[in-house]
This record gives sequence, structure tokens and C-alpha cells, in this order.
Amino acid sequence: MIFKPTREDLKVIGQGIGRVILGVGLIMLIPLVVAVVSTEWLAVIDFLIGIFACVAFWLVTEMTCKTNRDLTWFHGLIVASAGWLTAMFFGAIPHMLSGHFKSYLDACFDLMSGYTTTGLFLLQDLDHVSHGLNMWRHLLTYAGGQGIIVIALTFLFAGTAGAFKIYASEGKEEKLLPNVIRTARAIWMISLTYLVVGSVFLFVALLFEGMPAGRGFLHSVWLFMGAWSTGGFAPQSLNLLYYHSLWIEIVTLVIFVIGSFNFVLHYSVWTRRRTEILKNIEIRSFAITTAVTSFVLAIGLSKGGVYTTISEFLRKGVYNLISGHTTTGNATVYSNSFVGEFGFIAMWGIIIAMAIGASAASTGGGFKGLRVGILTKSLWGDIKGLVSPESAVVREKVHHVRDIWLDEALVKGTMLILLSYVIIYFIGGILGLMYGYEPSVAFFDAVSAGSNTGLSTGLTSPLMPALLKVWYIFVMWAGRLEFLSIFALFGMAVAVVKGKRVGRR
Amino acid sequence: MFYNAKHPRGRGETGRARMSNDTVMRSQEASRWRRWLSYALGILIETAAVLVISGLALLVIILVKVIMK
Amino acid sequence: MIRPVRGLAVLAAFIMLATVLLMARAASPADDTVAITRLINHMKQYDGRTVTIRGEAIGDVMVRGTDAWITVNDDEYSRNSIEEGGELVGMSNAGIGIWLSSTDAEKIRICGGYKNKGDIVAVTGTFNRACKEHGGDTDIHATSLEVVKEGYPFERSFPWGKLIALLALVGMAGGLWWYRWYVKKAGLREAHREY
Repeated sequence: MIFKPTREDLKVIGQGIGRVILGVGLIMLIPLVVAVVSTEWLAVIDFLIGIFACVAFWLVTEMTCKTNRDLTWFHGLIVASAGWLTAMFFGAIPHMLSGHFKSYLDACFDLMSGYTTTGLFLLQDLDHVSHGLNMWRHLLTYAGGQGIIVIALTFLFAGTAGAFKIYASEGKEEKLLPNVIRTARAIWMISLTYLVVGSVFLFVALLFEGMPAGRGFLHSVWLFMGAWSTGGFAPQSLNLLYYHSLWIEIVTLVIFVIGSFNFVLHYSVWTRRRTEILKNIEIRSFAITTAVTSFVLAIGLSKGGVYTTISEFLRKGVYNLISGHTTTGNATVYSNSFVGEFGFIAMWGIIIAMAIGASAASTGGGFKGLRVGILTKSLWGDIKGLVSPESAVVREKVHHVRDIWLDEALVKGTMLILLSYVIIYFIGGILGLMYGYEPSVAFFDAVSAGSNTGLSTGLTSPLMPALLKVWYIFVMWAGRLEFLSIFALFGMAVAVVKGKRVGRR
Repeated sequence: MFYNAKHPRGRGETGRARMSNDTVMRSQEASRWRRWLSYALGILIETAAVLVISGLALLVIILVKVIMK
Repeated sequence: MIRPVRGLAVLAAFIMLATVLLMARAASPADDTVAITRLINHMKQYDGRTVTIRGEAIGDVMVRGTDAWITVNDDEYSRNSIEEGGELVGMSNAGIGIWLSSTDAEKIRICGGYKNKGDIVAVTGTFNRACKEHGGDTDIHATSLEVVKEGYPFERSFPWGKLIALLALVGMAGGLWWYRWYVKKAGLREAHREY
């Protein structure tokens, strides 16, 4: 039986969403400062409007949804999914005011793409965009990578027992530490440490490659944020091709692969168990799938005959493949080079890599290495069961920080999520086909959006059909939150319409 | 900042009460250094892992290239 | 009778053809200038050929020893940027990296960005689909660069509408904050009285 949500339920949810939006407003202070320092006064006004809109919304929810009740699991799921949607509408304000977007839908597309660390964009004339807006684009992908909820947890939800429930709803059901607030802070500690280390390396590389110090500093921070969050944004329209630098490519490659690792793994390697990196199922899975997709890519590239030297293989082949595999989307080629230069086979190598994606509880998207590992192991177990004597009990385990024994429920749950990804990839591809795009192109961009990657063959543009834009926004959102919260939101929508009004308490 | 259960500062009152003690402060300083060293080692290990995996991918590509020639 | 008319007709046709040809010539700014999107969409065709492009120097000049990298855009926004009130034409920028001598690069005074329209340059050089020297980058190795038109800072009018919207929002947020404080205070007073 479905119950209609009570007034109290709505209040709890409203209060939660309000706080998430206040968080968005607070993050906007950073691009505001950058705009002030760069003396971009018109951008300053845009950000002030955005900040005050967020604050006003928060105050309205604080007054209308005043309640002392703590969140339940259900509330957590709704706050996460609806919070991200609301954050999209408010975060898009500075984007829209900048004048670089044809419609509010386009601005919302870029916002969702940023928060979900996808990296596709519909912004026009990127090369004339203010430093402030560029800071906001990259910062929101950095923030989205750690999880907007994690941010809200760190500052705004301190001490509530329900905090874990919204934290887990954001596609990060694992905890680093027993306490969820501490987990959130540990995630920030890891991210900020890498921010400093990675930006310093990039800054040195940029100076070495002839960038002026001031813009070099900003670019180093932006490139770090785009790479670490596996977002794939870059401040110039040529993306990584703008820099023409092997060193910058190597540093960003290292950053986005590390960024695609599980936060639990970071924490283990940093503190207790160094050997975890060798034993972890996700690292092993990632290494194997990288090798397999590289094999496909290599066959494609060899047939194409465009890239022939080792340096080209590294900078064009491996870089873009791993960028796709970690669901980053930084590219060192033009988007139509994927069709023209890479060719059919290499393109599908990258599509498979994107579909598999990064690690669970990381900044990345896709199926996730953990799920691929669990399914492979369970399949292996089934085969072993077939050839073993009937009396033998075959059980498989995967190692992820500790050994996890596979059981029916775990495999079933894994299968459900994996299937959901396959379905959204497939629907996106079919939609693209229906609009008359080439099959490889249609599937490349559909998988790229669904796995939060951001590589594009050029299909994603401001001129693409509005329905496709809306679908991509939906899959970016659903893929990043790993469906569960989205199912809950739809469940609530159904409950509001059809649920029975029963005294729940 | 980072909260380590083993670390006295992570325990709130207890940590603050001990701050007056000079020796403890010095040992805290030392443990903070150890902690950051431990993190640095973690970063190095992760970087090495990335380079190994990327190297593996490059190796596969080169092998295919050589075989297909 | 017919002959002179026919002669006139031929002459008229000739003049018309010549005018059309001349106009067509005048329409394309420099005779053999290629659009960057054309280069990128037909890489195979232009690979290794000498081409001339014309567009706005964008971003940064990155000097590497005796040579340098610049980026040149020739999209609609390089003629009329959104920042100077240009129209949204529904596409991203179209640019290409140019590898040139640092003495040529020094000719560029202003690079395009948020505050400035960059110098408009005409670059002649070899187009590379996958440059062997630069790890497979798609680029142009320039033999000559000429600044056609100097860049300039954008002029912007003050957005009064936005300022009014901002003030309205500040007022609204302030009012809500005050109301919240007032309710809390009143609630406290109430509680105190009851006590």
C-alpha cells in the first residue's frame, strides 16, 4: 500500500532542499571573489543575483517548513534527488545572466552536466567567457564530484542522525569513518589536499609551457577541478588541445585517474593499508578493462592509420581512452576526429570504456568497477558450480577494503543498477537514431551523457533537438545518483497523486 | 580538518585539556608530521598505480601495432 | 536587324558574368582563405597543404623557446562576440592551434577574452591532420603571420535591469531575514510571559 506523504513529510523535505540551496549560494561566493579580483563587474552582479536568490529561497523554506523532525531514509532519497534538481535551477542563474546561453534549458543542461561531472556543454562562445563564470563552471563540477550533499553535510546538517540517509542517497553508500559528518570531512580533506598538490604541478607545467603567471594560476586550478572531478570541463573551447603539451596531458591524466578511484580506497591507502591498492577489486577491474578496451582501440587506430608513432598513441589514443574510461571527458582531439580519425572500431572501444566507467563512491559515473567485478566473479562462480561435483558449495568473494562474499541479493541488486544503465544508454542511442544521427555518433553521445563522461562527437550542441537535451539532463542526473533516489522521487510523485490518506503516526 | 580517532585532538575536550602539557604538544606536532607523511606516501602510491595502468594500456596498444604490422 | 541585338545581348551577358565574378571575388576577403570548420571537417583533403586562415587570436600566446603556440578562432563570435552584443548562432567556437616563430607571435598585442576582442590575424602555413612533431595534434605550422586588424577592449553598457533585480532580491532576502528574527523574538517574549 502507498501512503500519501503527510504535511510533516513535505516540511522535512522542504527544509532539507532549502539547506542544499543555501549551500549552492555559499559556493557562489568563490566565483564572486574571482570576478571581483578580475574586475569583471558585470559578472559580479550576475553572481550577487544568484547568491541572493538562493538565500531568499532558503529563508522561505526555513519559515514555511519549520520542523524539528529528523530525516528518514525516504526523506533522504527525496532530498538528494529533488535537491539536485532545485540546485540546477538556482545554479543556472549566473549562467543565464551571462548571456552565453540561447535558453534557460541550455543553461540548466550545463549546470546538470557540471554537477554530475559530465562535461558536455551548450555554452556558446566559451573563449570570451569571464573568469568568474569559468570559475563557477569548474567549481560546480568540483563540488558536484564530492557531492553537493556532502558539502551540505559538512556545513549545514551537523549532528543530525538522518544525515547519513541523504549522504547515501547520492550514490555513495560507503562510509570512510563510522560517523557520517566525519566521513564528509574526510572526503573534503582528501579532495582539498589533492587540489593543492595537483594545482601546484599543473601551475608549474603551465608556466614551463609559456602561460603567463596570473592566467596560468587560474587555468591550473580549473584544469585540476575539471580533471579531478572527472568532469572534463576546460576553460577554452579546444579543451586540452589548447595547451599542446605532453606534460599537462600527463599531469591531468594522473589527476583524473586518481579522481576516479573510490574515496574509501584513498582513505585506506593514505592511512592504514597501503597494499589495498593491489588487492582492491576496482583497481583490478579497472586495469583489466583498460587493457581490453585499449586492445580494441589499438586495432581501430592501426586500421585507421592516422596515428602511427608511440607519442601519438599515448597522447591521442591512451589519453582519450582513459579519459573516457574514468568518465572524465577531457579530450586532446576535435570532437569530429572521433568519427573521422579514430574510425568505427576505435570509437566503440571508447564507448565500451565509457559505459563501464569509474569506481563506486568516487567522482565518476558509469557501471562502476565494483559492479563489473561482482558480476564477473559471480559468473565465474556459476561456471565453477557447473563443473564441480553436485555436493560442492561454490562461493565467490570480492575484495573491497574487506572481503565481501557474494550472495543472491547482492548480485541481484548489482544487476538491477547495471540494467538501468544499459537501458538509459540504449534509449538515448535510439532517440539519437530517430533524429537521424549516425548510429556510432548517436550511441557515443548517449553513453557519454548516461555515464557522466562528456566526450562528444559533435552531436551535443545548442542546435540539438530540445527533447534530446531534456533526455540528456535526465540521464546525467539519474546516472550520477545511481537511480535509487530517482525511483524514490517518482514513487513519491505517484504517492501524492494516488496514495491513501492514512494517519501515519 | 581531519578527524582521526586515535589522535587526541579529534576527541574534543580531552585534547584541549592536554594542550597545556608541553611534552604532549611536542608529540602532537610529531604525530601531525607523521600523518602528513603518511598522506604523501599515499599520494605517491596512487600516482604510481596510475602510471602502471596507463603504461599497461600503452603497452597493449604498441603490441597490437607490432603484431598487425 | 537581328545581329546588333544579339551582339548587345552577348555583351550584356559578358558584363553580367564579369560583375558576378568580381563580386564573388570581393565577397571572400582573401582569395584562398579557408574556414577552420572546413579544415576540421575535411582533414584528409587539406592534410599537408598550405592554407591561409584569418581570424581572432584568442586566449594566450605560449612562447616555447624560439617558437610559440597561439590559437586562432574564425567562428561567428570572432567577428561579433557575445560580449559585444553579438548574436547567439547556436554553436561553439571554432579554432585551431598555430605553431609559429616567437618573433611572429610578438606581433600579436591583444588576445581575445572576456575583456578584449583579440587582434585579427591572417596566417599562412601548412595544415597537419595529425602533426608528427607535436604528438598528433591537429595544427597549422605557420610560415607567415600578419595582423590585419588590431584588437580592442569591449565596451559594455551598464545593465540597469540586472541592478534593479538585484536590489529587489536583496530587499526580499532582507525582509525575510527581519521577519524571521522578529518571529523568533516574539516567540521568545511569548514564552517568557508564559513562564
